[in-house]
Amino acid sequence: MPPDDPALIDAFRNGDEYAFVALYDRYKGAVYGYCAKMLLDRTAAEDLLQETFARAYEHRDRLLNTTSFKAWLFTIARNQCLNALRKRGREVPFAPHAPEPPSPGATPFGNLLKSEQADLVSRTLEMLSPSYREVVVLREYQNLSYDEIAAVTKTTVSSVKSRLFKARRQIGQILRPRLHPDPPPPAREPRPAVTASTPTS
Amino acid sequence: MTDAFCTDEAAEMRLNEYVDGELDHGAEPELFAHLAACADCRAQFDALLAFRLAARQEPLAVPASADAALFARLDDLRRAGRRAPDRRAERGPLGGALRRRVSVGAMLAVAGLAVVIGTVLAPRPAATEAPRDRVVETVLPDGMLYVIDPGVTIEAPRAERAAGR
Repeated sequence: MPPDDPALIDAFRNGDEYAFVALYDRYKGAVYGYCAKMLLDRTAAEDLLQETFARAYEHRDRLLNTTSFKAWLFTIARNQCLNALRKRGREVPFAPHAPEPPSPGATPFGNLLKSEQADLVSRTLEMLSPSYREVVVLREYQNLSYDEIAAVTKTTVSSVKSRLFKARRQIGQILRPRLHPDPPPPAREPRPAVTASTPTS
Repeated sequence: MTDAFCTDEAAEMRLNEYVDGELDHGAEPELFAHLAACADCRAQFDALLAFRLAARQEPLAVPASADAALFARLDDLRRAGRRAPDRRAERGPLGGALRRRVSVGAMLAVAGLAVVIGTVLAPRPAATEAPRDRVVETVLPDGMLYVIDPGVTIEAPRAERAAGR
């Protein structure tokens, strides 16, 4: 049976490198997903994943409470992402991010569907400001509770609820017309060609 | 279908909490009653579920290269940590102890106290006198003359010296 989080975190704080690797394996997907969705760039997300765990390793003495490891890790990742977004704002992106390779074993139609859905989600997230995007990503991808999101973003639960509410209204504005497209206007009856009537005499 | 939003924001907030699993069970009947009557909230509910479905179906696998890059970086960090001088260990035991345990304020207070005590206990200098040259008359019968005190002037009559020889 694998050790639970608090035991691993205690061991990690005491310098056990195996515990660190176990924690990395446990949380790398979540951190990578968060970075990928915040930056909408998988290559940059890979770099930030590395940066986040390297910083966690270097500053493990700052982790005081073993129960808040996940929030602490996401706080590091969040700071990295916000820095990257700020930096990106000053730079011109030079290449679009690479598309996700198709999942092995899935049907071509399934891959196409997933690719379209992923594209739609990415475009929707791209339209949100970073402060709205981060609460959506933490909630929808990482399944964090309101309390955990508040801890990561250093705000209150009511602020988290308010930001989620506004972000979801924007998501609704984008998705609702696609889900329920208005029926096309009824086709009009073709009018008979108007011909000049010539009086018959 | 409508694209407008519900005017009852409290009801829409409850819908969000329900979607997130944070709504009290006691508030659910009220939400369901509202959903039954409000097409705007039903459309928003559909949009939120569609977004969640699409988001959670998207594969987000960590590339294998990420693991290798991280572990290589950690190796570098470890090596750098070994090479870095341990400045604390290099400090003298007293200096190290002072740096670690005594605050700057305490050190300043001790220094101030030492100055005050030194001022109070220091012997008062006697009234300053003008330096006077002492004149010593002597006869040098033989040998070398050693002058140790720079304030002493020695006058030796040459005639007697000559006679002594």
